[in-house]
Amino acid sequence: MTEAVAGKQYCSFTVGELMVGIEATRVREILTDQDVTPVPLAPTSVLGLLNLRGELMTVVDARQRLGLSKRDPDQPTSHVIVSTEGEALSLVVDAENEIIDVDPATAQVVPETVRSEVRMLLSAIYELADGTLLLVLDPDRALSLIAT
Amino acid sequence: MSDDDDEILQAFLEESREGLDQLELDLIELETRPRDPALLAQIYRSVHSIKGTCGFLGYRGLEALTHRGEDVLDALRAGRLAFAPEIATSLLRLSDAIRTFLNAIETTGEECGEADPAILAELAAHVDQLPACAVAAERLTPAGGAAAENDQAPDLRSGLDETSIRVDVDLLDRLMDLVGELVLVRGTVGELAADANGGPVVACYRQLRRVSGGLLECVMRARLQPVGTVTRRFPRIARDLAASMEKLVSVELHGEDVGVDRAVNEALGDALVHLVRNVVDHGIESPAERIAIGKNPEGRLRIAASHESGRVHVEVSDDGSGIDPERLAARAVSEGLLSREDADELDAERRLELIFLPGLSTKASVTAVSGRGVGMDAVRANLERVGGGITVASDMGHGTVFRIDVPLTVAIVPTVVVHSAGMRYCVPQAEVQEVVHLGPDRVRKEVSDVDGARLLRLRGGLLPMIDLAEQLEVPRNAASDDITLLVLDASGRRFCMVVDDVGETVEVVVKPLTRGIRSIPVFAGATIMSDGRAALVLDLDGLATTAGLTTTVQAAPAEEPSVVGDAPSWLVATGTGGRRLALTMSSVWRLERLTRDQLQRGSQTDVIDYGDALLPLLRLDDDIVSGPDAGEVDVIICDCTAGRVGLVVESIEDIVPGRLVPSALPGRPGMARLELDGRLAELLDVEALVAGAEVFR
Repeated sequence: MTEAVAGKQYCSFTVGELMVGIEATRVREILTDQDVTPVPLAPTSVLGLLNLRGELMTVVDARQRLGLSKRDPDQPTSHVIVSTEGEALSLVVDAENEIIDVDPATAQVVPETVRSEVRMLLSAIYELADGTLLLVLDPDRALSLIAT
Repeated sequence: MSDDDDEILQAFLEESREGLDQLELDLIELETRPRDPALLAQIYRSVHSIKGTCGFLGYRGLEALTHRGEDVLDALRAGRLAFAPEIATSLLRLSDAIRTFLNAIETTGEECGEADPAILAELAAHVDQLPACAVAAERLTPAGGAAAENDQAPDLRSGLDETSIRVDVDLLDRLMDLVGELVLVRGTVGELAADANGGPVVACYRQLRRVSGGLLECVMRARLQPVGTVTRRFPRIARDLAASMEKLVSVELHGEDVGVDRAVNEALGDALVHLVRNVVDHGIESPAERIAIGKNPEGRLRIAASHESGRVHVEVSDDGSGIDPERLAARAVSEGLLSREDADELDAERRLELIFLPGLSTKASVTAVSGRGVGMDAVRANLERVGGGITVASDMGHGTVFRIDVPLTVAIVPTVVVHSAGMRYCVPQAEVQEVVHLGPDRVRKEVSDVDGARLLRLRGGLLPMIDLAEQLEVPRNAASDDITLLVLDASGRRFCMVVDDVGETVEVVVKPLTRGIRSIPVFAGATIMSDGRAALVLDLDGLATTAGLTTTVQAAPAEEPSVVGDAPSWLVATGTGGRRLALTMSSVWRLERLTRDQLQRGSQTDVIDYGDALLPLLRLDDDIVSGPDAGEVDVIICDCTAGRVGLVVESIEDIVPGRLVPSALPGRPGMARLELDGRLAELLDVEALVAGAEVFR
């Protein structure tokens, strides 16, 4: 897909019933089945700590961050390793989808009706050709409410 | 801004700040040697090189400011202006103004407008008194120009000769992380090699061990930073502080080139800031008071660093009023930190140690500078966090000496692995005093429930008992009848912590916590275990605070008068010949269980194959190496000035705290007798034994 020159590329993921996009340049890698060490006393959306080749990172559950129900513990997950300000972060999603090219000009503002704690994580919304909505998640904000 | 520009800018900021550190030090020195041409030249160079670079980078405001400073220095160097303390003050203010510029440039990339006119005028005033033409003429003459050129010349040359390069500290940290991981992988390969029973894996493992050991050492060395990078700012800090209190203080620095890990150095710097403030504020008397008692009106503060067997010692001494142990004790009692009876039990030395009690302020009136009841306890806690410590000695009326002792590196910390509710955590070994396992009988007898709080009766004393799983709010199965616990000492707060199981001792690289979990006070950091999974490192101080343990000195029985400070503990073991032995815990580095085939017979001495090295074994009188080949032996690894040595024993019995008075055994150097639990034990003085053994000479 060479028309990406003008467009923007997003890696898309399924989180509950939602389709979430993260800017492709921010996604370092996507992994399955990681050994996460739970961290007691951490905020509920923090699943724990992950060692990725010697680098420790916080693991955040995208479902809980987006106000969705907890997932069934047996359900498979993917870890999306994203670069944020200063350090990497693992965002746990339900499944990985394809890379989507969009025209930044078609970005829509996040509607006021979206709950504020979810709205603040999103930087834009795109309506795709088939009518599904792509919620663009800003990785820098993924921990902002709970960041310390 | 391109990366290249950014790099140039970063280098400029870094170099300028270093230049200013040196400048401030030199200016204070200048007060004692106002006519020293070399010193003046050096000061001039510091300012001149900042001016040069900022002119090049286009920072006109900063250039104008430094230019004004140069004028003053020029006049001083040429002897046209006589040195006066006000000039040093103005130049120090110049240094502050330059820092303000640098900070603005760092955060915004731009200058913060023009320099403060007040400082420009102040600098100008010094040279304006001189005939204007003289200044101008000086600058026009070729000689003056040549002098400036010459000043620059050595800098350029040393730039070319330089065999060192600047390295980003993040890169160094990353390098350390990777080496830490390598050490863990090495451990895993070591297990494989042990299973393999010889063959290529073993040879490969030996090679890996040698290479990784060398790498580790190099990385550790690369992280060393001279202590001077933190101590150099103290002459300035002390001078300003003293001036604000109308006192006079001079600071003497020694051992500035002693190297220490940068993380340790940072902790050291934080501790020293508190100490220096305390000394100037509380220790040094006013000039009038000093004159009245026949002291030099100017107080002296000395910061001396030195190296000693893998540790760095920093001594902060002053010739001030000293600390009154009686007043400290009285204060601790009045603030409810200590009971009157306990206070009476303490000798003067232990009373001085009270200064490190959390919540104790030494000055009746709280001053703006220091002493809001925080300070010395924080100093101790900060140092302990990097594996260091601090002690104090004082001579009333003559001064105080604080002795700081820190490890050379913090990168790798020995920890004890504990399991609780299906999770494992690392506990810094330095804070673990002993591990106790209580069967149902002992639980009934020794654990009491007082108003919901559990207490452990340990050798006559009472210790608060907390359950780790409960504190971490992790649900777990019904408690079993027996209890495993660790007796801990977190900055003087003794308590015990119930866990499910205590595992092995591992050396880990402690990494800072990541975003979102950074502020949980019970964790000091995280680490990666040999199975590749992350594990949390407990912050025992934070845990004690979270659990609501008071900072009160525990009521202790008479034979254990001191939970404040470092009561000696003794390691009791059964020797190979069935003898009962005792060693002071301070000489014990680690306890290991080794297989007999790790013991090797050498021509002069027996050795054990231990980590990266062969450790010499101390032989008491029995032949421990020959003996049945199977089975395991307990080895006490001792840390002596001559290095580490191993001591093989039949079994390790207990760790016993308490003050004991040994009596010497005639004719046996390094041995004495003491009574423990009503039975005699031979006290080994490992240092003396090592000194007496041929092989260690």
